[in-house]
Amino acid sequence: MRKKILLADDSRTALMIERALLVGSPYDVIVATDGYDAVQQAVESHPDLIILDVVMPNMDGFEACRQLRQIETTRDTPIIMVTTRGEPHNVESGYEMGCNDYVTKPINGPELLSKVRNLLGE
Amino acid sequence: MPVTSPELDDALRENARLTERYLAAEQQVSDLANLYVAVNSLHGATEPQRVIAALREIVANLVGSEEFALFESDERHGHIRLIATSGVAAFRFEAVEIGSGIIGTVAETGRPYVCRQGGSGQSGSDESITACLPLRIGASVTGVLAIFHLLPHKGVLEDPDLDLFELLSAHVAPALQFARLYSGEAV
Repeated sequence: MRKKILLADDSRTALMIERALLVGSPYDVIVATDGYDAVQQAVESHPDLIILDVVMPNMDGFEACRQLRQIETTRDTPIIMVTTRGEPHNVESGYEMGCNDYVTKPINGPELLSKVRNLLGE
Repeated sequence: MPVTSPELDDALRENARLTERYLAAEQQVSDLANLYVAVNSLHGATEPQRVIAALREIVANLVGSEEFALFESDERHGHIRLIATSGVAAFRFEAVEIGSGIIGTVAETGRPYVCRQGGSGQSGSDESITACLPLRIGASVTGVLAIFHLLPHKGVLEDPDLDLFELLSAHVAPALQFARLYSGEAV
């Protein structure tokens, strides 16, 4: 069965890059464009993994991650945070909110794919 | 006790070679995807402000910088005109003469300037320029894109970044021109 990945980013360009990387792999991809939408879609669609941008309108990625960790059905869903801020305190904030891993923008395709496969146990 | 044989050694070598090729292919796909996304974003915009918004996303998401300034040549008056900035103060570029400084020199010569280590120093200064690209329509230089500091974790520019700069040099000005004609709007 194909695994499902939820991409959450308000940047059309970032979403296109992530989709372009993932559609060549055996994954179904769904998209959210803000943190609130990401939480809703995660609850409704039960993705196997979530790739969550930090800077988004309505609700940022940190808050979305925190909320996802409090919801029974998404508590254990692997989350990769994506950030333009690679400073240690920003990365630590992501882990404190419950993410499993992080990547920085500009996204390195092989690095992202490696982390996706690793978290999906492939 | 480990099993060793010439056949096993050959198989391990072949496995390592294929893994290396697979990773190289994955990197190449990623680099090509970035170029595809950049072209698609620029030419998908039908209003000048959307072209600039797409450029802002490309610079942030693909180059790794949050600072740029976009200029158009005004040869009649011998200077270049600032039409958009992001992350740098516009007042720094009130009067950029063609042939003066890095930006003016790129506008005059049409030759790109690239600092692989990334710019440093005060934001908006010549020293802070990472890349300064002539924007072309056909053989004519119609503008300049200056990209300043890189994000700290970006490190240095790699070869695929230079490919992206070539693409920006060739596609930003036509995308802007098309958006103006289509929408009837000036920037």
